[in-house]
Amino acid sequence: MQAVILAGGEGWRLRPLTKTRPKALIPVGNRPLIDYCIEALLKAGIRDIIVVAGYRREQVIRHLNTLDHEVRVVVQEKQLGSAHALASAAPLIHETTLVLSGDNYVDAASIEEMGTEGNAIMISGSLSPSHYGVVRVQDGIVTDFFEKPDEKGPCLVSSGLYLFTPEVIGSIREADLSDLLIRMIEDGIPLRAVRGGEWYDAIHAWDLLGQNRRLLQMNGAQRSGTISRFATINGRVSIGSGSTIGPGCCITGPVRIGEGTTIGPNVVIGPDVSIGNRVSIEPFTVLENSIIMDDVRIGSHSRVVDSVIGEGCSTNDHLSTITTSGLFSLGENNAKMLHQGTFGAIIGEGVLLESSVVLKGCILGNNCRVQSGRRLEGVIPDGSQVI
Amino acid sequence: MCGIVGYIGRRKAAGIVIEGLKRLEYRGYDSFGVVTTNDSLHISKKSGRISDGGSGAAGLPGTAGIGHTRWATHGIPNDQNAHPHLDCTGKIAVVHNGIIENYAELRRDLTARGHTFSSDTDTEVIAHLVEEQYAGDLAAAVRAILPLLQGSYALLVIAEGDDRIIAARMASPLVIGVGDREFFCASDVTPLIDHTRRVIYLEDGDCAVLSCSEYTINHDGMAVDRPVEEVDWDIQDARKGGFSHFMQKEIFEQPQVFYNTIHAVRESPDALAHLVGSRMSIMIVACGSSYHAALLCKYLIEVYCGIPVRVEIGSEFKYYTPPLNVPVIGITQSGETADTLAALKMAQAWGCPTIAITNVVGSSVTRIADATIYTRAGPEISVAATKSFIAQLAAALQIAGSLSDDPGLEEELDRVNVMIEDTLTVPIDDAVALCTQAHSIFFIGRGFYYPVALEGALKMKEISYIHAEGYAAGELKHGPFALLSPDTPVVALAMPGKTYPVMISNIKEIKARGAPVIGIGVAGDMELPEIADIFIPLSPSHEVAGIAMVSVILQRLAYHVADALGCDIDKPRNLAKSVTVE
Amino acid sequence: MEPVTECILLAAGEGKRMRPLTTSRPKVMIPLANRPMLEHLILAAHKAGIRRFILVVGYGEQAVREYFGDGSAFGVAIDYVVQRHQLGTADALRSAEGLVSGNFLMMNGDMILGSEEIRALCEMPVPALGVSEADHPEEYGVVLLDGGRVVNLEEKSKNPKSRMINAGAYLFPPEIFERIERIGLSRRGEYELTDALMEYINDGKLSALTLHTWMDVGYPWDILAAHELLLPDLKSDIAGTVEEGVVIKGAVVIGDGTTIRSGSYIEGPCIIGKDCVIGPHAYIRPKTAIGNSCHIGHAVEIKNSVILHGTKIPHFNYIGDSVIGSGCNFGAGTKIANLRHDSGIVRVGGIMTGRKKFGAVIGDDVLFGINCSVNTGSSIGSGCRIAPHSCVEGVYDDETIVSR
Repeated sequence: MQAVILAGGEGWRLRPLTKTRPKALIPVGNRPLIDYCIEALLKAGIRDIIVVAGYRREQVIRHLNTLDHEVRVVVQEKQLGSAHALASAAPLIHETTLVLSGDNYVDAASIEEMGTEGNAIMISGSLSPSHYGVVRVQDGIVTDFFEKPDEKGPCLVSSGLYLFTPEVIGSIREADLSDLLIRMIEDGIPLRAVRGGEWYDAIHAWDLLGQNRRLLQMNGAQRSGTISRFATINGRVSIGSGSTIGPGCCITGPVRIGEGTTIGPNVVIGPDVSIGNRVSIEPFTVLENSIIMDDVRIGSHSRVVDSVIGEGCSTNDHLSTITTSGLFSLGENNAKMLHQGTFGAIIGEGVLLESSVVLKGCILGNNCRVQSGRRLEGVIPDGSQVI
Repeated sequence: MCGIVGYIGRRKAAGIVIEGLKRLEYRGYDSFGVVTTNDSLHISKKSGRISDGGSGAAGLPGTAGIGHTRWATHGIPNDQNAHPHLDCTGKIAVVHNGIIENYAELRRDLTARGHTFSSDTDTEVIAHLVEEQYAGDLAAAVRAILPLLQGSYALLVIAEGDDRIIAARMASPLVIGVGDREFFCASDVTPLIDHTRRVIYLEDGDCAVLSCSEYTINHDGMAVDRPVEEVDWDIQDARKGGFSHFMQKEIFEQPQVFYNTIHAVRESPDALAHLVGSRMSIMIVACGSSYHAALLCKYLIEVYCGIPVRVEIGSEFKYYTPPLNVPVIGITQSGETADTLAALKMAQAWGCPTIAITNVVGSSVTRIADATIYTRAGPEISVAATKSFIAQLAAALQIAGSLSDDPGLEEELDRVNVMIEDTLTVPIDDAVALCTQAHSIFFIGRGFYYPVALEGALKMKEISYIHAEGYAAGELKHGPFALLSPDTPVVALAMPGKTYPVMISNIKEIKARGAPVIGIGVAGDMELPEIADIFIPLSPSHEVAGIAMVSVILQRLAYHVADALGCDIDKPRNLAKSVTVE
Repeated sequence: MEPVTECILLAAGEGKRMRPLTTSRPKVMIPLANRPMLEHLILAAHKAGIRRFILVVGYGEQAVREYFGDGSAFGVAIDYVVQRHQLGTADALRSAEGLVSGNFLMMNGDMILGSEEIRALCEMPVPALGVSEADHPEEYGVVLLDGGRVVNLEEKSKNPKSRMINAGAYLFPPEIFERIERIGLSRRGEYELTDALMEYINDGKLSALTLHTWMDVGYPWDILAAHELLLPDLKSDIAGTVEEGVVIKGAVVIGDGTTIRSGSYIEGPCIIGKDCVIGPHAYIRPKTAIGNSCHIGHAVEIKNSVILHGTKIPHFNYIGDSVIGSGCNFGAGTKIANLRHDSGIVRVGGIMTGRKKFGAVIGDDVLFGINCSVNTGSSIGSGCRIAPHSCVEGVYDDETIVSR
């Protein structure tokens, strides 16, 4: 049994967080999404793992090199589609192969559920099928498949986990997996539908928060570094080596804190917070339901809730986020569309905020600079200077 | 500047020796050879790379064997000149790393005494010398001829009907691996760590005798004990794991390497104490990329600490030794660079404190210097230095930070890794396309960016084979201007700072001569994109981060140009990673 | 037939599940009743007629080499081979090629097995496999038997078809080396013996011997179980000094140079190493093992616990159902809890110990300030520093500092 993880796509709806990495490398629960895939495969006993990298492939390869288990990497030179990505791994395929999306979470039980023979697709029920491929099933065999329909209401959708024989993978001429599935159905190649267990996908940047919340439940709770005995730590909290938790901090799990990070004194964190490596959180700051990536500094007296802060950001004191629901315009030029979301702030990489900035439902692009006292809403493009 | 490997024990030797040589290919890859022994000698050698043609040798029988991967110094790389070399009887085989300086004289004498030479190498004289002394005891014969050899050597000798390997070292690295009923020897630990972690670093003048069951080491005719040390290396680091080239892998490791190194230097206060003690002046000796790191170190320490620094090229130092009365820092990635080692020994003889900056734990330089600062680059496989250069830069910056009175500098260093990370994804496609067409490229910079320009040019010529020169921007009009044309792109490093206005006027002068300009500056610069043909914007940052960021951009430029031209990036022609000969 | 005198022992693994006790020693060097696990096995095998051992070492090999040397101190001959990467049992076996001459035993180094059963295994028709009945067969490779023959092997699974498991003890002919040459990587990415064993099974040639004295020591709490198994066989042997007013009940071993001070109360079975100072007024309860050079001081109660050498528990401490590494120091009044209020099964880092009473696993060189409380189910990494009056619970990595 082999497995191919597709990690070539950027995931543009997650911008600005995909500046330097594909979606599969975005840290959730302090580990890149692809780690959960690999872990689930290993747990299900599959060792021969091939990753297809494309967008920002060097970052993917570099990360994979740090893992204990050695995986093979295939480069997809141009991101033409998911089936094309899979086809680029075809020369390495000689057995029935599981195909996963590197940015979805599936558990080991679902993988085992797929079986080891023939062709299959994992399905799950959905109330909002507009982002997914919809599947019709009869007697356990897929009879119809169509992509991202306009129809509303509950139906069965593909959850991005497939089982294909080497013959099918060798025959791929399509760019997208959906076209491959449609051809298989037309050609009468039986495609089993398998009801999956746990599965989540993050479509938009704010969906990462929900994913973070769920994945934090799964991580262990190992403490390292230097922890003040006057810190109050409850629940599932893990702290990386070289990190310091100052006195008076109150951390309520689930929370995961990386390595070399300095927190406090008197910082309140949690629940549902992931904090990366070499981060600094200054005193009297409150963090809740947020993802803070590597090398971020958050100034004192800040309140960051329902937010994602990208790598290398530095914010001065009194940053506040205000959670709000709204429609956000994503995509470029003609492809711009409105997307519904609820969050505080999504901040790209290398953003500098001066004191007392207020972000209300704000997507702040990479390398923006914001002067003190500004109150921002909506989508701010990369490299903006707000003065 | 070759790699040698030997094995004696209970297993088949050929496979182990070949695998070992593959790990030493960074030391040379012109030709290779293996000889094993059971009742007689079995030889396989040829020109080319062991990774391409080594499988033929794997079938050689016998449980003792020695092998060699060559970087030609004497004689062109061909089958005859490949090691091992034999004596006239074909019963004694030698592999050798180093240079026998008096080989011409020895060869004359041996020829006069009737020996027939079959190669142009200096090594072959050793085989013939041993032949003359050999009367059944190979160890005695080797010991007897060592005093005749002038120069440097790490050599392994086997003979038909003798189940031992004789190993000797003088000014070239040689390590013994201690296994269970088996022993290994090699130019460094990388071929050993798959088999054993217990190693003995031989010292100059040592001669070791290895058999299946034991080893003995002699020095000046006396048996000596050398400590068995445990190496703690992870072979995983030497895995390319999906990157097209080791160079690309190593470029992408730089943020972590920078971070690790500044923390390592902060935690080695002993070495810094030597420098703090004398605030008078410092001398730095280095070669190649390390020399450029040394120049950066000079600028940084002079600017931030006000201490005068003098930088010398290792190979010049030995023959034109400056007056020695200040602490001397030797910078060498491998810790084995012969010229740098010689310079440190000389400094020590003059009573100067010596400090090594090196990447390899246990390397020769760490044994010579009074104190060592380790860079934490991890094993660097690509011949072109990238992460080891950034690690040396990190060490230089941290030394400047520690010696400086400005606490803000160290704080800035904590953010440099983030800025390097940022630089890794800056698009440079247009610049690559332009350089790929060029026959000659100039790199210009001022102040800190002058050594950065030198290093950028070195990278470009090393791996892409495009002629490249680094200049202090002001020097360009004192001669090189004559060479500028539309076919000679100029890479101008115009980062913010006090040299920025003059850089801009330099660039205008260049443009006036029709040369295309690739300007490297910071995002938000309004002027540079106007005058440069191609503008590469880096994120705004402190100047210490700027040095690292520009270095990384120039590495990436060289890498992608070489890749586009289809060059052999990790093993450029005629080069070897560490130069252990003069 | 020639008697079997050679044995390959697999001792290369770190034993990650045993962390933090494996920070400074490989798993097989963790002591049971004050001797390394591996020594018990070597002595038992020696008693069963084995004269020559090949130890496959890797993680922390120096500790194994230094302790056992060439084996002469144990009346046996010992050779070592190195397995650098943990690539499976077949790979470990392969590394010992050329060092055995006839039929030979191969055993995992991290288990307990009595000498009678080792002898019985040696006398089985070759090849043979030791099997054992397990309460939780889902954690092991399962063996399907038909009388004395193995008819199939099953990988670890949630619904095992049998309660009989592969005990990791084999009797092999030398030709096994040819068979393992042909083994490829398994789907787990290792070189496993299963393929070679399946060849034997298909020929109807693999015999099975059911082992009753077998126990594998996988998790720290298994160390307590192993002591509960080993210590009841203890014979009293008091070499040290016992002051007046000490009460000793049951079988107790007290090493040379150890002093038991007045007022101490020791309930066997219990083993105390050399050069210790116990008491005054210490209370040592059954199935406790205390290593060499330990200090158990005034008003300290130790119950059903294992304490490695050089640890000091000097004043007003309570240690129950715990495993304590070497070189630790407990501040006055520091105590370890060993029972949940709901009397539920204790978990360590989310893993069930199967015990209602379990205290903590504490690594080497851990320093506690005074009056620390260690909650039940904690795991404290080696080299941790815990400030006075701290309450610690959960899993702490090596070198963690709980500061003021």
